[in-house]
Amino acid sequence: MLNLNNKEIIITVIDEIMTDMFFIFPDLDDDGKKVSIGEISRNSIHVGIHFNTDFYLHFTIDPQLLSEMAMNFMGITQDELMQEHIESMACETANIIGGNYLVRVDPNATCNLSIPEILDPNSITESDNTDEHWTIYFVAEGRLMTISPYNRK
Amino acid sequence: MAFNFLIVDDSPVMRKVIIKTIRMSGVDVGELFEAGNGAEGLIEARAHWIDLILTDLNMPIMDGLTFIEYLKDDEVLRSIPVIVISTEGRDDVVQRALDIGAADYITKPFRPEQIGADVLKILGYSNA
Repeated sequence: MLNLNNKEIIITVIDEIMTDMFFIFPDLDDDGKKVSIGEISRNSIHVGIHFNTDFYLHFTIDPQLLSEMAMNFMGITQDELMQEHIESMACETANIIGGNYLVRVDPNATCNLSIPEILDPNSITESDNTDEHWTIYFVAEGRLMTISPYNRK
Repeated sequence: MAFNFLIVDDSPVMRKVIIKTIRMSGVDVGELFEAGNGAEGLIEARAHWIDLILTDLNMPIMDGLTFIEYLKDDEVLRSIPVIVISTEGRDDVVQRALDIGAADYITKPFRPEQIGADVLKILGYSNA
């Protein structure tokens, strides 16, 4: 039976992608204590990517981390970095992680990867939590990235 | 001889990375055109001389597979080689892209040298 909600696989995928593609080396922060969780909504960019009509992964990524990733990925300097690069980097991060995750959890292609979208954090409520709900915290370059599964009802 | 490229991807960051990779590949680069989806890609392909197209699959308005089908259906455009660069790595999707006429398929994450090598190979550079 297809299980889209696999915390262990997403951890593996994120570690590989961040290292191989963006040259960022994230530390898994199991209990989310290294960075104030309150900073997530205030500072971070929220991105969602769907695997079917209901299930989606919700990413929150610190914009400073996105800036580092974008500069590494594109080979540009801080002066050349634009706001559109930061949001595009957020969506591309969700796209690459989501796509690599989907290959591993759904090799027979019963689901389709959506186009990533920037989310309004106020639109997400606890009622969207999946039955097995978790949040993974990664800290890289002193900045936070989180991933959580949701069911849009 | 300089080659013209069309990069079709809804991510501005990815387009910039692919352009940078093409420039670093050693190929003689003429003009570089960009499009944010397949529909824009068709407009650019019809408006300019293009030697090679690099396209994503998962895009709004017109996705990459549909874009390739339109290209291959067009008497003038069908001869332009297309490389797919996509996060979609499942076997049946890769095979479908190749079946409808993509010259090659690169999955993300990729190493820049993969794209460079592919570009050189498809354009017929020796030692590629």
